[in-house]
Order: sequence, then structure tokens, then C-alpha cells
Amino acid sequence: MNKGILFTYDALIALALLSAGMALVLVFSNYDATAGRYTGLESIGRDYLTEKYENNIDIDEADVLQLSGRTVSETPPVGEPLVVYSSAFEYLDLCNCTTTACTLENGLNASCLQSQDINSSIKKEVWVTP
Amino acid sequence: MSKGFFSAAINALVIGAVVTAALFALTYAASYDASVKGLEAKRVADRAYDGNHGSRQVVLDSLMDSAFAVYGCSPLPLADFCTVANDTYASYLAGYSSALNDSIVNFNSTPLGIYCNSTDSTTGFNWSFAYAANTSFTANSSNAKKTLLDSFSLTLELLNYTPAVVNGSGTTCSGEVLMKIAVNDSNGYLINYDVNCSQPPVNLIGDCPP
Repeated sequence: MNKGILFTYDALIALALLSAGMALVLVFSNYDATAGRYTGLESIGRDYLTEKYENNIDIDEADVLQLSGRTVSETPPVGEPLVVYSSAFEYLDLCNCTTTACTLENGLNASCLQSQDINSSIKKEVWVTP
Repeated sequence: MSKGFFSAAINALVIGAVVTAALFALTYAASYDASVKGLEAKRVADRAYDGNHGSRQVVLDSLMDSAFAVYGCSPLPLADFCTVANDTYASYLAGYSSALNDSIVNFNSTPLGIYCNSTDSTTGFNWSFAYAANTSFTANSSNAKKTLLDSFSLTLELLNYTPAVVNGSGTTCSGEVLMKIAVNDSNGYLINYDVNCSQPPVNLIGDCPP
């Protein structure tokens, strides 16, 4: 067989097999930079909600922008090409009492003792824009 | 150089390109799939955390409401407290599970064990109960599942009394029923609520309420 060419037949087969091998490694590595980016954005939104509602930290959307450089909004943004959604759930304060001790007046604010103190508002949502 | 060699070389190049392109397409698909599954798994884990985080509130909510239903604004207990408390907790747990469900994550709460027993009050309260709840919280989706267990040991104390209420003329008015609901654990009071059953509140000096 004439070998006077840049790639021999055997070398081309080897190149094809090498490419296939590398692709297989990528297939099973499950690595994707985009996934990491989305997960990071989702985590920013999630951290904001848990700090604000579960840990009662006084933090607002401007603080998140300053800290992370990302824009978070508790209302769905309109016209943004890419937003990442995040959510958290927090049980409401019992009888709207934010402290351990409280006084309730029957007929005024004691109706909370007649039914479960949750509604759809226990779901907190945020949208993160890169 | 033979024609046969070029033919074989071109074939090898085409085959190599096709195989590589196909595998990179598979790579992209697999990466995308992994991304979706990764985000979904995180959402499932977050939901289990959220559910577990609110578990104490479910217990306290059901205990308070049960106390008010049985002892509140009534001179005598209207029912067996522990029966009402256990039923209320099961009901509130179901409501809580429903609130944490969505189209991606299915959330379930299962009471593994509830202990409720009347105890002798040593603090001057009219009624005292030892209450413990052991609960499982599970979040799952089609690709992920996370279960957390939580347990509480609480003491519920109830004070239900009718103070003497006197108006400005010295006449005793109809009783104003006051109630105190207090729940504590080993770290101290979690709830210490006063409930004034009359409305509007009765002043000790002044006219009796209508």
C-alpha cells in the first residue's frame, strides 16, 4: 500500500476510534457547564428565599444584586430571554404572631384557632436573571 | 498513489466524522438529561428540607387549635383532648402535604407515631399534656427521592379560668372566660398565648359588655 500521504488508512481509523472514545468519555461524564450555571442561579434564588422567609433575615432584592451580581424578582419578569425559577415553602406564623407570646381576642383575631394556618402563600417564588 | 487508497481514506474520514457527530449529539443529549435530572434532584431535596423545616409549626398549630376546640371559651372540656389532637394533627399533616405538592415534586407526610397523655400539672395549670410526634416527610419525583424524619416531645399546658368581673356599680358581670395555651419543649416556651373569649374585652371598671 502506498504510504505517501499525510494520513494513512490505519491512522484515520485510529483517529476515528480516538474521537469516538473521547466522545464516550464525555457521554458518561455527565458534565455540562450550562447545568452548573443554571444550578448556581437557582441556588441564588433559593438562598434568597430561605434567608428571607425561613431564617427571617432582613434581605431584599437589592442586597442580592449587590452580593451576587444577579437580579432576583419575586414577580415573574416580562421579556427576559433567560430566567431561572426557584421556590421555597415556609409555614405561616401561627395566628400572625411573630413572637412567642401573644394575646388573642375571640371574635377579632382568634379565628386562627379554628383552622389550619396555611394557605397558598406558604409557597415563595423567585425568578433569577443572569 | 492508488485510487483504492483514496477511497478507503475518504470512507474512513466520513465514517469517523459521522460517528463523532453522533456521539457528540449523544453527549449533548446526555448532558441535557443530566442537567434536568440534577435540577430536579435538587428541587426534591429542597422540598424535603422545606417540609421538615415546617414540621414543628404543624404540631403547634394542631395542638393550639385542639386546645381551643376542647377547652376554649367553655367552662368544661367539650371532648377528649388527645383524641381531638391526634385527629387534628393527621388532618393538618395532610393539608400541609397538599400545600407542598406541585407538578414536579410529590410530597407526603406520614405520622409514624403520636403519643398524647394527660399529666399532673405541677405549674398551676388546669390541664397538662405530654405530647410527642414522630413523622416522616418524603419528597419524590420521577427521578429522585428524599426522606427526612422529625420528632418532637412537647408539653402542653392549659389554663382556663373565669375571673370576677365587676362593673363600675359593683355589680358582677357575666364571666369573662380567659384562656392560656402554653407549649414548651426542653428549650423553653414555644408558645404562650392568652385568649380572651369575650368580645369586646371586658374592663374591670366600667360597664358590663353587651
